[in-house]
Amino acid sequence: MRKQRRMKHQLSAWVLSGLFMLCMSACKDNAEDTTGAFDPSQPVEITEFSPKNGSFKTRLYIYGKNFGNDVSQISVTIGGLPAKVVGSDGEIIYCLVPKRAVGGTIEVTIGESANATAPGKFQYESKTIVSTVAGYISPTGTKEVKDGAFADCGFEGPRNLVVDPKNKKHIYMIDGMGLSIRLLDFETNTVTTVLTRGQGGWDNIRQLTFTRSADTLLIANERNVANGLAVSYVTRQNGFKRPQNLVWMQRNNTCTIHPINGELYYNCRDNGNLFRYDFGTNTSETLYPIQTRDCQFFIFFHPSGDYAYFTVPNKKYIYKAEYDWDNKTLKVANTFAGNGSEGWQDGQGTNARLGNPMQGCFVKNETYVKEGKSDIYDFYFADQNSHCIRYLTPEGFVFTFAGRGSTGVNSNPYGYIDGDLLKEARFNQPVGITYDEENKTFYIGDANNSRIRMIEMDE
Amino acid sequence: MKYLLVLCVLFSSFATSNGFAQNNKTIEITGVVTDDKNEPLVGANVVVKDIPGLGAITDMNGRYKIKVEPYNKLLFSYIGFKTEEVVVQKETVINVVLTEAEASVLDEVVITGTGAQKKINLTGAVTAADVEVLKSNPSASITNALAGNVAGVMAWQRSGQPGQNTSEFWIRGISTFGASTSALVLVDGFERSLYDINIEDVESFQVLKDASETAIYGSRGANGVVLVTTKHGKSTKININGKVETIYNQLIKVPEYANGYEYATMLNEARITRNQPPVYEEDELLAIKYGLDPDLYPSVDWADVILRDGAMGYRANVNLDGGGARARYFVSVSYVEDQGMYKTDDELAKIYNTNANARRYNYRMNGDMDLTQTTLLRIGISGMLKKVNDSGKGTSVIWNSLTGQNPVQMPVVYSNGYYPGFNVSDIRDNPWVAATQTGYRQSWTNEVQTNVTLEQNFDFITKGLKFIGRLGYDTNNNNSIQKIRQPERWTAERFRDDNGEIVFRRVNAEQLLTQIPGTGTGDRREFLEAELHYNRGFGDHHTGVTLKYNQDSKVQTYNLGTDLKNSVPYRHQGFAGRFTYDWKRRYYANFNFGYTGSENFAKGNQFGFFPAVSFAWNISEEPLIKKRWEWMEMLKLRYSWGRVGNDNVGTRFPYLYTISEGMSGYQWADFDFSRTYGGMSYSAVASTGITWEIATKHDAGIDVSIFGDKFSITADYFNEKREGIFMSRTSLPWIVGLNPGDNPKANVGSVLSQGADGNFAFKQKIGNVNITLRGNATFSKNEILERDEGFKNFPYQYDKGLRVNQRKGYIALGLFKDWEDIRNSPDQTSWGKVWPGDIKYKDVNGNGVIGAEDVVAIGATAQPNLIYGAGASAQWKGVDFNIHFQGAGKSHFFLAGGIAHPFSRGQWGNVLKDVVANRWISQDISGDPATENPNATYPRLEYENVSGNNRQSSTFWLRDASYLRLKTLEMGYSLPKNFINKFNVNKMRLFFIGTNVLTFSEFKLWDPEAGSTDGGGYPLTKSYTVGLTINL
Repeated sequence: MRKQRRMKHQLSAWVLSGLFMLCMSACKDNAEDTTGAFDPSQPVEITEFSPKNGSFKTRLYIYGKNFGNDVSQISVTIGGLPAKVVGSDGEIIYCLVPKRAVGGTIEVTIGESANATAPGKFQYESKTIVSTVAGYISPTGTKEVKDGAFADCGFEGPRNLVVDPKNKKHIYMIDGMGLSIRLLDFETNTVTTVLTRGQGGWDNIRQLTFTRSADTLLIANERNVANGLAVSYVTRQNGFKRPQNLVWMQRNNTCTIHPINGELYYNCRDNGNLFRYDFGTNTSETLYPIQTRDCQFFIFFHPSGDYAYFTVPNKKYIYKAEYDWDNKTLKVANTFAGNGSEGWQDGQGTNARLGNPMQGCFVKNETYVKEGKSDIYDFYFADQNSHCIRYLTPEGFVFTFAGRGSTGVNSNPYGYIDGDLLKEARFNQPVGITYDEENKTFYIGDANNSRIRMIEMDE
Repeated sequence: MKYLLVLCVLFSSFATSNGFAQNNKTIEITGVVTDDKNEPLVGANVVVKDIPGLGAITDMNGRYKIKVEPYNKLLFSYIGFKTEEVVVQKETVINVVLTEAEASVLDEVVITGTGAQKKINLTGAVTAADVEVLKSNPSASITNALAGNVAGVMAWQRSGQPGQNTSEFWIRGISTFGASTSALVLVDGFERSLYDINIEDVESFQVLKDASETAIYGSRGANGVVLVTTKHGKSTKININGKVETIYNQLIKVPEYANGYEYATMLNEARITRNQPPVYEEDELLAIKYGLDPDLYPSVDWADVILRDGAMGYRANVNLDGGGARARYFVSVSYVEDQGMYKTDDELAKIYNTNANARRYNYRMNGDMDLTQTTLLRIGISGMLKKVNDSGKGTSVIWNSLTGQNPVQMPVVYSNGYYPGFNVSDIRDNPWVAATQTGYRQSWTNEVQTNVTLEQNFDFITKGLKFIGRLGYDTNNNNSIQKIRQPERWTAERFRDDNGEIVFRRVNAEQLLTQIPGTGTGDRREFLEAELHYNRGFGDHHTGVTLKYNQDSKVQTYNLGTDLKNSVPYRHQGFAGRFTYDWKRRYYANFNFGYTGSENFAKGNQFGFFPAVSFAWNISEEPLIKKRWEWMEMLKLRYSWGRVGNDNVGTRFPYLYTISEGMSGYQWADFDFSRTYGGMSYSAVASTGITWEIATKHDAGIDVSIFGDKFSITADYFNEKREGIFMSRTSLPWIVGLNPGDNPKANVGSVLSQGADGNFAFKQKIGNVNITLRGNATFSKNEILERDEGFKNFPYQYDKGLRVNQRKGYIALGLFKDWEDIRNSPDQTSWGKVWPGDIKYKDVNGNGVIGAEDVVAIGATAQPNLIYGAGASAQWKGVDFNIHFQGAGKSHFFLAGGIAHPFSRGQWGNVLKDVVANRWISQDISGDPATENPNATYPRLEYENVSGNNRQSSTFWLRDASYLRLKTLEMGYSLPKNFINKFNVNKMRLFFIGTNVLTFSEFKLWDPEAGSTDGGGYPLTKSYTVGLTINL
């Protein structure tokens, strides 16, 4: 009996081990791939590179031999400037052309010593690109409002921007949903907070405008009570520090000065009414309503004072109102672009669709000057919901100027990408825009990216 | 470890069986058991009658030794031999000669709705499946073994996911478009699920196909009935069976997709070829091609990343049966495990399992007790516990992502360790993250089933009278839990920043493992049946009467909510009978009826009478034939006619209306205020006259068995007209004031369905080799005779005249050759501008415009209309071999979705490898006029435009899902008796089974059986099994 039992166990063990052998699927890890590794005993060679010319961040492929595939060991300089090396398979190095790499000589160094120089030179071409001036938001979306150097400062979400006419190196801006007025100082490359909401008794700072003298800064406030504070002002004399109140109106959004005659325009969002304030008589008069109910709009005068554009974000229109030089007031405004439904579509007049047109600025177009046109200004505006910078020609065509690039990967039009205006750049709810005519530079308040962006030639 | 457990159980039970104390009054008897050729029988059973557990087995020389008290009876049995009974008197040596039992077709027994019948007496159409054949399919569910094995059953497996890998099946195809199409499944007499039954417990598996067999089920028998009975113990010494199987599963076929470079170039092509700007610059393609930037320009083979080469499965089963003459038992325990195909994260796998796997435990105890000489009490208890595991985001998201996630959008993991992906709630995700990093979900199902049967023989009143009473009580429940975790997911912007670094944006914050309770389901079922049987022969006249009363109720026990309907049980009640008569076993006439009712309908429509008659003529019993053609063992013609119903309309209480609150009402406030009061309205209109569908069935059949059952064939032709099909009235005009979705229901449809099924077997012994050839086929075709459809302009637009669920679409005439071709063809701008290389459709109505009226019926249905199987088996000494082919035909499906139509969902959707080589390419892009091939398999590429011209269902995308496969390849070796008997083992067999080993089909992209339109979904598996059975 005992013997039988033991034999039985032996049998079962035999069967079991057989079964387990069958169950086990041998699975070995692949051996370390050594192809493409750098061989110090062999020279590094560059045979070719492509493309031969390009601009900042051009993807450059350097062909040759014995580069190795360890990116950390490979350094490439173009015109003496270090280029970011992204990848290498031993025979092709993929790197990005650094900014202003005008020297053009391509050098590859592997490890400490082994190096090679490419035959021929890379031709660097300048172009207009989007870049970032200041601000930071972590990839997880956290941000910190912080004054300091551009490289180490933070914003809630930059909105309207205005260049100080007396010092083009100073840009005043609204941060967040009217939380504070801050100063971007390009002399010292620092950000400082000038005024906060509480200091002026404001609810939501909406727009900043310098008067004709450029010594007074008007501040539009939106307060949703009857006769709420509408426009305040601060003066240069006081270092733009002591706000004083000017006019009162429920839910004002804008404050705009006629560039020649100097009177003030403001509005009421609830009924869309436009008001004119005369500094001479200190009186306001109601002009007319835009739409009838709940109409938010901002007014931007042409430098000549001949007309003004009204951007109407919540109704998806841009209106145009001619100036009545005789009565020194704005004539009735008419639809100029957009068809009332939200969208992103370039086109003329009502064929164009607008996302949420916010701040705009007039920019002189040299081509128009050459052509001898009567109106030589285009109107550039930040289209918040379309996530791009667009412009409106005097003939009423709307074009997209920058943003919504990087098609592919994800279909979102928004994001944070610098670079080529249309191919690469992305904004995330740009709201503010202003133009420095001397340096031909745009500054953009990119609200959801919490950054100040810049568009200029990389020379 | 699992085997060890099973084997331990085996051995311990063996040990107890041997450990009986034996007293001194006994005498020791020895002897030799031989067959009629005087060869010793090794391993024959010798038991003492009526004394459970006492017995012996003959050794290599056929010798046995047993201690027994005098005047007991010894039973000598051996498989394939007649059992002998010897009374022990004073002798101590008893030598026994066993004679081979003659397997005769005349003795074959078939279980029907009113009890067991000899096959010879059968007048209806019944398929008795060979359970041994079903067992050779190592799938977790018995349903997967039905296709091609059981004549009359059409089966279709849709998924290979553990826990979901069952087959849908229909008896003789589909013959309604209104109510449920599934058959009534009765396990041990009561309605129970077939999916999770332990196949080793099954004693018999019958399919009742015609009205004469199903009429007793009345309003529930129209879709056919499956009867499963489970094993009961026999009066023998304890008999222990063990079986262990180890299964290696592989996916039959995973669709092959284009690699990153191919994808990116085709993406550009799709845009350029339609005058859109490309997505990738030329120099970006270079980075993809050479893999120079695996973060921003990856090229990932996702299937390779998350799928294993194969997964293991295990099955183990132990059952014990035996008993004395007074009481008998059958006890079984089984375990089935199916592991999933997903790879798991090495670290997380130590804590929990994210793989899709299923484990199931079954037990069953059937006890039979003879209370008196004439009273038999049977008690059966069985249970099932199934646990199914899946990854947190679930298999559907994983496969959706596997087919959708293109190779270039994101790497598996960014080089800094960030996980790429989509938002938490998105049904898209990085497949690797979805499969391994999102926690897990578990669901479990419990079933407990109880049967009590009392059989009382009233032979003492009048001969042939018997009463059977049955009670059943089942509880089933299902519950689930999710333990979800969401890792931080990131997305990289398309381009690098000014320093060449990647710009990341966080998609979602990390969510730690969080528990989410599931919503369970459950029900409780109660059954009661009483039968009175009377069978008696008077000379040459044989009569039988069976009367049956039954009632059952099923009530939901979970998630009842506040809706009263949920807690009202589903109830059936019925009275049924069968009258049989035959003269000299030659002429048979049967009458069956069911008078059954359901509480789901209005009073007056609840009960119905369902009659059926059947006749049979057993020609082989005619004296002339008997005399002349002795070899003609059976030749029988059968015919039946009857009516049965189908009350499974799906809608609860269709005769009641529902009035809902919260409909749009009136605004009572003045300007700028809101005071709305909602109204009430009908959300469901009462359809008072609703009742069951009625099927009128004809069946003509023939049974032949010749040369001592060497060759047998059964064939049936069936014709069924289903009337009163339950459907929503669609022809009501708007003026009635109802939304089309709220229209009342009615019994208005009609479908004619006809076809044939049959099987044959051929048995031959050549030398020592036993050979069996067998085959079966089921074919059915249906046609809609009547359907409420409303007016249509052209006769071909009606469903009437078509098959149920027949595919419909445009007739494609190839691809447009050039602009000239487009100009000269009917206007085809319904879906926007067409280009050369787009699909050209036939203008069926001839109005010069391609539109909705040009849609016609094309192809058959997605479900196969022909299922067949054929196989052969052979035995030679201890070696056995079995091969079985199975096929399906007459089924079509459309390629559709993001896989057939590349880029239709933008950049969500992989591109089939097949498209890379076989598409129409403009010569402006390829530079070669030959690529503008008007016969290409795929049209000109197109970006987005989901409902565009090329995305319409048409013959262009119609694919034939016919297939033939080597379903089973089985090889077994039974160890020699004289060897294993040394270890007290009666029988031991080692075997290998290959399942779905080879598949032949015109359609190559993925396995056609699943009928998937886009190759998404968990594919079916093929498996290799090694196993062992032991009988002690």
